[in-house]
Amino acid sequence: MYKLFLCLRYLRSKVFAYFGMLCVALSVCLMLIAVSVFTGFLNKIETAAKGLFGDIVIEPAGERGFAYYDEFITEMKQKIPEVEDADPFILSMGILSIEAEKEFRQVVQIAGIRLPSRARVTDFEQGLFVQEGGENPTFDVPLSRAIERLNEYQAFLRKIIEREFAPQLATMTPEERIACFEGAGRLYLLYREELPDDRKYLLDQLSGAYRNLVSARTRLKLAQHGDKELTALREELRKLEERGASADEKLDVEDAIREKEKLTGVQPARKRVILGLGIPGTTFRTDQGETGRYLLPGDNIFLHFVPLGERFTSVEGVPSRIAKFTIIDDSFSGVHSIDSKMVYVPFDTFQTLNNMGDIVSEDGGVVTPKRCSQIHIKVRGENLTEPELRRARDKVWNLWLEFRQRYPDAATRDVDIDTWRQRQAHLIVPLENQRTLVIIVIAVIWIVVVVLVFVIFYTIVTQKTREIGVIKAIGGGGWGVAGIFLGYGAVVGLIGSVFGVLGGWAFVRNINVIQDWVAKTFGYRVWSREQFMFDLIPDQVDWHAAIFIVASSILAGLIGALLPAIRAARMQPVEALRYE
Amino acid sequence: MSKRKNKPTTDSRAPAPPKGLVSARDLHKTYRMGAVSLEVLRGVSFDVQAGEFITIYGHSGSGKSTLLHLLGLLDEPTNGSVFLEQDDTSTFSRRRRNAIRNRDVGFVFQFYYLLPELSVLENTLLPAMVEHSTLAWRGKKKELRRRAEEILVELGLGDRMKHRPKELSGGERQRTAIARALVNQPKLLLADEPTGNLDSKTGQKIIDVLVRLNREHKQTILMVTHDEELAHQLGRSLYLKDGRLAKT
Repeated sequence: MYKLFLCLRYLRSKVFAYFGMLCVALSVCLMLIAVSVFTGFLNKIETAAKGLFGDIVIEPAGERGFAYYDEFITEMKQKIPEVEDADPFILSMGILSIEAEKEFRQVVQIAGIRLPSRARVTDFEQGLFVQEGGENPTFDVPLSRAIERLNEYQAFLRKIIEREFAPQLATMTPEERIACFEGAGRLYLLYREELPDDRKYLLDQLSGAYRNLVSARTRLKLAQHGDKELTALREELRKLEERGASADEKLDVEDAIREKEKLTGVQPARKRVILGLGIPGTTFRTDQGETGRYLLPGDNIFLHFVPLGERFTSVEGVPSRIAKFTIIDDSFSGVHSIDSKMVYVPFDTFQTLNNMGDIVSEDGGVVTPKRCSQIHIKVRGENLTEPELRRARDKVWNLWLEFRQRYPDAATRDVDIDTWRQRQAHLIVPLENQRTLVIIVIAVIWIVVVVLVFVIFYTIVTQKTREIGVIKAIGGGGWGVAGIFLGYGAVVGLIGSVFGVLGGWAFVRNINVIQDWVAKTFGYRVWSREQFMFDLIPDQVDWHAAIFIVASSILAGLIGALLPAIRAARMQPVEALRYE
Repeated sequence: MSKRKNKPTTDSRAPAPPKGLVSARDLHKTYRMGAVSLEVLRGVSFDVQAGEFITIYGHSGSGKSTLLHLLGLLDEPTNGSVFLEQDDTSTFSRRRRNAIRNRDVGFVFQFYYLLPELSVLENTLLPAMVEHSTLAWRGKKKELRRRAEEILVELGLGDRMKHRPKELSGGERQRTAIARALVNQPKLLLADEPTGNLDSKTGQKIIDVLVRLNREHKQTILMVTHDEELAHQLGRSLYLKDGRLAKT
């Protein structure tokens, strides 16, 4: 009984013990932050890579692409049980401009994707704004759903305004406040000039976002009303095309559709895009780490691109193309290099616009079949290891060798078939090396904790020599006395690590807010989104690591206390009592 | 510390068989400090009967405390044996010696040696805590606590139970130390100069407490003091000079 009792009592009354706990807490906190951030990085790469490319990627060298992709996908699904699904993909460079902002230009990557089949191969459906949580994403989103999300976004902007401009709002009449929330315009007119520069900047961003929101929503509402007529006209055109009507016969209907589309300004499903959330100039961030959008579902954009020439290469003399699209959703993967560049376009639309569709001879025969840039494959099963994926990859490769015999013009040059890890090796290997380095640093920190606990306990045991003599004089055994100090060490390790985990958890969860605060207060940004490729620092605690760190900290406390405890155990009671 | 060697006494007469509660037989204790040997005890033999109050007196350095430590199994003799109820303690395991120190012997030291982090009551209960495991403690806590409180009340510390040692006077601290020594109802109470750190008035009160314990509770007490006059006032007294009992 006395071991537990004295251990707890010493804990309460020894400042040294608190220092020990502080050391353990700080080191645990540091370890947890470092491990969580690095694990977060690696997880993000995995999520992003799989989210965009699936488990395995087939990519032909050069720009000629991959023909007979649907045939190959069908064969893979039939002959390789590991292949759950696969989907074609087209990737090309382009320039994004905005209908409302003539000066805006941004280089982007245009990805032609099939929806909803893409969601069966990658995690594309995760991180969508309008179709949040939906399992079957589409370019043909019900406009009512988009309007609903814009209303929610308005509430979000309103919350920011209420928080950031509370003093100004307090001086307004209720009517002025309502007017303000309709577009932040009132706030803008009344107070902009009085505000300091950083607030002025935020107000400009919020009013800009508000204005765009109102116009995008109006466009969607108009389109919603005109949608029925448009749908009827499109149906009529489809029927005409089905029965092979002449261009003249279709002209009237096409004109009527064009007029309606012009009126509403919202493009049909085949001309809609999903925008990466993070394309420079289309978003802004508040000090609290919230992301605001300038470009919203309902806004129109132009994509400029240079299509492949008839001989499959981008050559001089091929005129660039411009096509108008309506944004219908946006996608956030968390990887800055993806979110800041990607624009997702319907696969068939982009295939045609990029000259990758069937090339037909004058007599109607297909000269060159339609092509895609890559095929993305989902392998059956969850949390597959790299060797498992490589086994599936080898089967795909063998099938490809066989397929090539039957379709010699499927790809004119070599084809690469890689797992997601092989494709991302350039990112993963340096990160894993850095993580190894961090683990070495952590091991050194751990040794420092052991030494610190040792010094603290050695001092405590020295100070308590005479008390140890008393405990032994009244019958306390050597192991009993050692138990007091070992228990003491374990409790220092446990309490220190619990506080360390709490501190580390609070820090990791708020790491982006802390960074924004540091950037704002000291003008120094530790984390550059451009440099570190991720939009945000990973903020999820690695609980497996936390359990390991707590266990190792208790062990550190025990090891640090072991020698002093043995010293206490071996003391002769008479010598201990005589100790001066 | 030198290891004890059990060699026969050099006395030509055979040692008398141990009788009584505690017996010392031809106790020798030598300390080695480098090349120098210091023989503190040079063959001490005597018996303590149950219920006796024995005082050992002598000058500073005569070996009084060393003798007390040997009798209380805090230390081991270089030669000779301590018998507890006729059992030779030199054959006892370390664990059994610990148990005897805990249950059969109570110590009172000159400098009290109370644990500063604990209250008076907690200091008193400490030997009882050492005796019981955490599980056993839960069952006996109330009874032991009541016993400790009774002892403290009897020693006049009823209103000091929650105080820390630093909040007590010297006399109160020593009475707390006596309470601690008594909580496990030991057969033998060993007191090493219990008044040595107190003024004469307070010291007398402590002596009164010990006398009362001996008379009313038949507590066997062996006390060490340098005060010859005090030794003669109490029961049987033994004079220790240069490591030997000079007269009994």
